[in-house]
Amino acid sequence: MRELLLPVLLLCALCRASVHYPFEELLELRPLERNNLLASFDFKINSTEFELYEPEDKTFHYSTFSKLLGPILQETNTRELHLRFSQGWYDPEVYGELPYKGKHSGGTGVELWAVLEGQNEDTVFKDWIKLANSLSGLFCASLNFIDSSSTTYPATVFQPAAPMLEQGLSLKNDLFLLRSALPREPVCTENLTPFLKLLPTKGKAGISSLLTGHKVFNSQWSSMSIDVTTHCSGTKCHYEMEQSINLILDVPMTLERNRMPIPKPTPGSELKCDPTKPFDAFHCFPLDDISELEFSLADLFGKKIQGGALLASQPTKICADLDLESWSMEVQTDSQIVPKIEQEKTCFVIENTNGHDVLFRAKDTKKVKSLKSPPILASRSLSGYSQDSGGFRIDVKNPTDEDLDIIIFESIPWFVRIYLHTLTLNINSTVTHIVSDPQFDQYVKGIIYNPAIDRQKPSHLELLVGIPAHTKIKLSLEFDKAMLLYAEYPPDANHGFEIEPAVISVLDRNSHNVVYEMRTTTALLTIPTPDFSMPYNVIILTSTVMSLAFGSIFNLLTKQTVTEEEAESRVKESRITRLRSRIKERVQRIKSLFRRS
Amino acid sequence: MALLETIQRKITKYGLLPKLVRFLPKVSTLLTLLGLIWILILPLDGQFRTTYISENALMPSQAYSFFRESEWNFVRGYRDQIIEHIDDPMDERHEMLSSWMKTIGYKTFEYRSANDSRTTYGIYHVPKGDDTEAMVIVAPWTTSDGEKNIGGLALTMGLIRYFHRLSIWSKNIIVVFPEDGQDTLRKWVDAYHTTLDETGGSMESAIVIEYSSESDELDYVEVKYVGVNGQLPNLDLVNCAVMISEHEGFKVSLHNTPKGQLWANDYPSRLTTLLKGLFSMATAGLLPETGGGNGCEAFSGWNVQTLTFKARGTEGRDITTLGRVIEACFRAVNNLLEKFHQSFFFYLLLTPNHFVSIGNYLPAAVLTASSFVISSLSAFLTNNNVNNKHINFNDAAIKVDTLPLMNGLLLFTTVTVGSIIFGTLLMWFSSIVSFADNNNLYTKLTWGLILATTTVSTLPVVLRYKSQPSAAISQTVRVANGCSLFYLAFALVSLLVLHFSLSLLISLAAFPLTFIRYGPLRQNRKNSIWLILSSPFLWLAIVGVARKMEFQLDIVRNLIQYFSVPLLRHELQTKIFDTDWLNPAFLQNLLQGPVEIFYGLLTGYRRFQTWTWMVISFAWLPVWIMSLIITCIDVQIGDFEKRKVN
Repeated sequence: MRELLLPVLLLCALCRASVHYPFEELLELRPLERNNLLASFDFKINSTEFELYEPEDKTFHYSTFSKLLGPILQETNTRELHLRFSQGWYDPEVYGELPYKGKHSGGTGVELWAVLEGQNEDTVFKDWIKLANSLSGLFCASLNFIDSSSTTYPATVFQPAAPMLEQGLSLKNDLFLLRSALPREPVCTENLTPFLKLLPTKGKAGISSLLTGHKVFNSQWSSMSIDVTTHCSGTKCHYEMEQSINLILDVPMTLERNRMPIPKPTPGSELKCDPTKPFDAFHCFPLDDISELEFSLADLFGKKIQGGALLASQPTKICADLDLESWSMEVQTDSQIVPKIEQEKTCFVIENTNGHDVLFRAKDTKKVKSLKSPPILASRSLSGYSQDSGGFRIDVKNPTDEDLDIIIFESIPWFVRIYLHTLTLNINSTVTHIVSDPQFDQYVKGIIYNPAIDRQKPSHLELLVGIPAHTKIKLSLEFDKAMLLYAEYPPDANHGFEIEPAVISVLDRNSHNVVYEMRTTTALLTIPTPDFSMPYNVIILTSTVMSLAFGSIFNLLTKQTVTEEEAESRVKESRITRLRSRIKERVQRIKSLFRRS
Repeated sequence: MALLETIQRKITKYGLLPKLVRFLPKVSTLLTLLGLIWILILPLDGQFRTTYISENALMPSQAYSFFRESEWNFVRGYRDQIIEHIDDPMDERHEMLSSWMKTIGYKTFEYRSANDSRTTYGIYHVPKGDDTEAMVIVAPWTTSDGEKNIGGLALTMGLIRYFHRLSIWSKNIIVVFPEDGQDTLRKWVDAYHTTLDETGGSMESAIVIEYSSESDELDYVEVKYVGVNGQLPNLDLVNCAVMISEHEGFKVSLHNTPKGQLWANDYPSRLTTLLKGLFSMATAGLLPETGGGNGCEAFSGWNVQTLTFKARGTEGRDITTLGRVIEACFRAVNNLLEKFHQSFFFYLLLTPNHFVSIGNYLPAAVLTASSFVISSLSAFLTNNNVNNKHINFNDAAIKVDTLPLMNGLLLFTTVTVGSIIFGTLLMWFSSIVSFADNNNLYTKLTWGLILATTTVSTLPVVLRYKSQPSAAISQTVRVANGCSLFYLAFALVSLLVLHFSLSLLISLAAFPLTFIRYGPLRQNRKNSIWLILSSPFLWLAIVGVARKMEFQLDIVRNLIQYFSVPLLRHELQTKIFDTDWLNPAFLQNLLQGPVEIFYGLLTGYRRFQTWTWMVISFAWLPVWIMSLIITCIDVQIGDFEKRKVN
């Protein structure tokens, strides 16, 4: 095999254009309101075919599919893998609904869920921990902190994207769905580098060449996702991997930072003042309306696209969803490329290794293609302030004209002891129902609840809620805060404890499939935190008490009990008293001697 | 142990116990004096410490601030608009700010409290943060002095616009524009933590800006930090604010210290600040319905570190300097990874840069409170019965028969429960009777209570009822007296760690109660004086009138420290001779002082969760009433004669 490899490679180099691998990439740009821009990078990679249960010594050929990821999946019997890295706050009012209807967006931090095949829960859980640890090394993320106390087995959400059982495959074992999230994980450039390494272009060519850490994470909101699914026909299977990065960039802010990295005050001559209000050399009512913009991809990402991904089965494609009345797009490269309109989007492909840049011009940035507003709006807040108890309140609003069925998924750490009987429902800030009210069931149609086990299992709550059109509901839940053991506190315990985002999925009313998915923000919970010098105080105090007790007991054991008279007579007879009286006598004698003389 | 044993043996041998028992009242007085002396010692060199930043992450004033130059133009631009629209109807004003915030990029919302007062707030969900924590900037429309907060609003608008340009934030920024900095703000803070839909995470710190002038400049800043129930912001935040202000060239004033005194750092000035601090902590949260709230009271109790910057003067440094101070404070809090926990939460400031920590000042209140413990012991040991004066103490005399014991306890319980019910009823009364519509009623109530308590204090002198000499009466009175004093001591001791200043001031004000002696009615003249002096309502009147007179301790200190006749004459002239004492409007205003404070006391719990009235009506008042009842009882015989008579 190895002898053959070199000639094959040489051959490939010669006929580069004709060799294609199952790899596609697409960059979509879409201007949003308030001069924001959504950039969606999408990569699709297929692995070569393999048998699902192959002997262990069998060698695999991975082609474009990552050689780093493949063995991990094989080793842990992972049939489906979903990994999310997200950062920032998504503003549905300005950005519209989440890209891909939230399919590829995670909550703040890192989120991982996977479908694993195994004989029973124990073996699967071992594989799951192995998977998390391997991914942790691969992505430089703290996924190794995933353990049973943060793992849930979702019942209605996170269902497999490519159900293996429906593919007519006879599986040897059962499939298990496991999920965990690390809301505390800061997503940064060290997660992006391994992410790009999984691509066959390695971030050197194609649209991935635009992705650099300091630009990606300067965005208003960013989400990186990896989804691996196993697809089989007969006994032959292959992995399909979809990697995507979605960014929302504030264009004027990015341009401003390129121009002047330090936020120096605008020079007086460049001030934009509202002409309808009084202004002169000293007074200026700011005019923050920017409606004309001209920017290129190089302005936003610091680089041009370094040519197309030539090994891909489809050429690198770049599309922009523009309102062509006020926006125009120009491809800047050595040869002339005229973008074509495809499905209302302006697209072009890159088929050579030259640098490409795209220049956007907007006469009026307020005119953007109308955004699709999300079917659901939700937020979660913490209630209360005390060290021993508190509450969650989840506000969900249905702005659409249709009644919606949603699922609220919560995984709450064990030290937050939620009380399901305190669940209350408030509708449109007017009517309140407690959980035992019959009306409550009209809205909350189903509750799946797995209570927590201390240090072993988180509380897992799934609520199936029906929300009528144009209705706002508020679900509140109370909890107690548990005390942690001294060693269980993380290094910066006074920071508080992050509670992972609630996941809210909108279901299709007929098929019960998830049609839209969103997450609330993380909540930061204060838990009674000791002063960590406390053990030393305890040691000191205990030692003092011990020594005092020892002293008095020692006294009792060694001293003789006598009456007061006896004690006084004994004192008179004691040696010290006799010695003292003798000295006194001597002194008296000397004194009298002196007096005589 | 052996030493104690010896002492105990000697005491019994030489019969010292009765002498010591007779000495207890003096010990009690001595303890209170020691407590006072302790406070006076604190501002001496060597007893206090220089402030320091305890949390390394804060790093105040480490970054160069760009809130200057053309940013000033924007502040002026906003100010022009605010001046133009300052008298518009409430909703229009709020809509105006709301639209400005929206243009900048803040998510804006409105909140209406029950009294229909509006709060507009905006949240900047910062791009790089995890949306879990927030820093709050507050600019009320009306300042604590009841003026329009023109400069404060304009500066806040300029600042939040500038904040939106920066990319350094890790915590959300919440900007709040309440109608006023007390009830409206408090309602909003409560709602934020209980019902609001739109929140930006847990609040780490809040900074309130008050700058009522339309001027471009200010002279110095006053930092207010006192919250209700003895709660203070973390000392680190106060230190940051002071350090940054001084770094930017501002002098910092605490507790309304006038400009001339800002450079002083000697014993009298430190003592003055300490006393003013004690007093303002003890009276925090007792606010009339309009004006007076410093903003810190509104956030108090929700674990939010709050400071108020109040701009003073109209000349000196420009308004953007104050903006830079606030920016640097925000940057410092933004640097925090953990919540404020490093530095002190209980402290007394002597100057902006010097403080006394809880371990050093707490003994003062311990001493004054223990004086009540000793005097209650003294009461139980028959010292307070004047008939016992010339008789030697003996063990047999302290025995109490069951019936008098029950009677005494019953009397004490009835009075205490009665007082608690009275206090609660008044609180309930204040919640259903509005102050604005029934001012006259409240005035009558307050002054009625003040006059009534003063009048009944003279009752022991006037009473001429003669009872049969009975040991039961003397024992009952003794039990009631001892119990009530012990109850007050217990209340004060349990209060002193939480609310040091209130505990200390109440124990000082109620101290004359330990002098109360009972016996035949004719010896009662002194008792009346002690009762008047220790009456809660007398102190209410004094504090209220002093507040309306704008009493300043600094002036008194100046007079004493730099005594000169012209100075005294000048002060007397302006404060006393030039005042038209008979002017009805002036008197009306003066009389309104105690009424406002009384209203603040009654509504304190409902509005700010201030428990000052509860402490007064549940602990101080019953003991005072008990003392009054005791002095009105004619106790004819001493505790040593009971076996003979009965």
